[in-house]
Amino acid sequence: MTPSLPARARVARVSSASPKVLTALAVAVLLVAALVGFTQGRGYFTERDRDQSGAAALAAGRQLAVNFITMDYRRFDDYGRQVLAGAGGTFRSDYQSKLADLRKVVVDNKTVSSVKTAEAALVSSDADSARVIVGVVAPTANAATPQPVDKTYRLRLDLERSGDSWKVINLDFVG
Amino acid sequence: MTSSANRPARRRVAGERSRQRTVAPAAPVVDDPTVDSTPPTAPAGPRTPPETPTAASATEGQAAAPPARVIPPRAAKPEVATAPPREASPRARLLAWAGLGLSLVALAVSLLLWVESGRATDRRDGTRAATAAARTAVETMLSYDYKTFDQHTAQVDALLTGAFRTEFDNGTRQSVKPLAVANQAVVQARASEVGVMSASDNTVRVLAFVNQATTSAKLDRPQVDQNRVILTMSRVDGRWLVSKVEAF
Repeated sequence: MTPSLPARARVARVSSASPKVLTALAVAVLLVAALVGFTQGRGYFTERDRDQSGAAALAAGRQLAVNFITMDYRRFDDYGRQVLAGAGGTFRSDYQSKLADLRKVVVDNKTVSSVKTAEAALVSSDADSARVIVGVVAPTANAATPQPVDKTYRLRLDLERSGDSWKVINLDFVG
Repeated sequence: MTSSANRPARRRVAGERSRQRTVAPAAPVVDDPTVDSTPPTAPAGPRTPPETPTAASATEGQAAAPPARVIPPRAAKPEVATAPPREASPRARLLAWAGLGLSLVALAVSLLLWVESGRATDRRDGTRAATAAARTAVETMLSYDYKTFDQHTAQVDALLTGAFRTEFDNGTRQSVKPLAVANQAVVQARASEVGVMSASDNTVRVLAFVNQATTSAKLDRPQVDQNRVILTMSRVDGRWLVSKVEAF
C-alpha cells in the first residue's frame, strides 16, 4: 500500500527531525525512565523477593513439621535423618542430642504416626529469617493403641536462611 | 579548487571508487574536480557526514543533499568551512529514532514496575489488615456469655459476609445458644498465633491457633480447648470480613 501524498509528506516532515533533537529527547526519556525505575520500580523487585523468600520459608517449615511428626519405629533412623536435613542452629543440636532417647521411646512403644493434615502459615518473614506455624493432624498407633488415633499438634518454627535453603533453628509446641 | 583538496583522493583509490558510484545521480557536482576527492575521514561514502570541515567535505555534504539545495562547489571556500550547512544522513536519523524508541520502551517498563510495586505494597498492607481482622474476628466469634448471647451474635454478624453469615446465624441459634444457656457457659477465646496461608488482592487465608477457656455449670474448673482454625478473609467495600471458617 502506498500512503497518500499528504500522509507521505507528513511522514517525511516528522522523520526529518534532526538526529540531534531526537537523541536529546531519547536521553531525556531514558533519564526519566532510570529515575522512575530506581526510585519506584525497584520496589517491585524488593516485594517479589520478599514474597518468594516467604513462600520458600513456609514450604521448608511445613516440610520439617511433617518430617518431625512422621514416625515409624521400624525406620526410625531414616526419619531422624530427614529431620536433621532440614534443621539448623540450636534445634539441630537439641534434636541430635535427644535422638537416642527418642529412638528408645519410639521403638519400645512401637510408635507409627503419619500426617493426615498439615496446614502451614507464615507469621512473619524477612530476607533471612521467618516464623511459621503449622497445624498437624497425625493418626498415631502404638503398642497400647494399635488402631491409629488422631493426634493434633500446633507447632511454631523459627527458620533462618542458609545459602539457598531455609533451616529450622527453633521448634516449639504452641500451648 | 586547490590541488590540496585533490591530494587525499589520489591517495585513496578505494574511497574514490565508492564515491563515484554513489554520487553519480548528483550530476551538477560530478563536473567539479573536487568531487572525486574523498577526504580520508569519510571513506564510507556520502552516507556518513564528513568529520573535518575542509572544503572538500563541505562539497561532499552538498553532494549528499537533494540536487535542488546544492550550492555550487566554488562557493564553498576553505574559510567558511567552519559551519557547513549539513543535512543529517538517513542512517543517523534512523539510529536516533531507534534510540528514542528504545528509551520509550524503557520508560514504559519502569512505569509498569512502578504500578506493580504499588500493587504489591497494597497487597502487603491488605494482608496485614486482613490478618489483624481475622484475629479480632476469631476471638469475637469464639467468645460468648450465655447471658448476652444475642448481643454477641449481632456483634459477630458485623464481621461476617456472604453465605457464611447465614450459616453462622443458623448454627448459633440451633445448637450453640441452647447449649450455652443450658450450661450457663462463658467462653473466652484468645488467638495465640496467627499466620498467613495465602494472600491475593481480595482474599487472604489465615491460620489461627485459638485457645478457648470455658467455664460452665457442668465444669468444676475452667477447661481450655486448643483449636486450629482457618479463616478465609474477603475484602468487601474496603473492609476485611470473614467469608469462611474451617477447623481441623
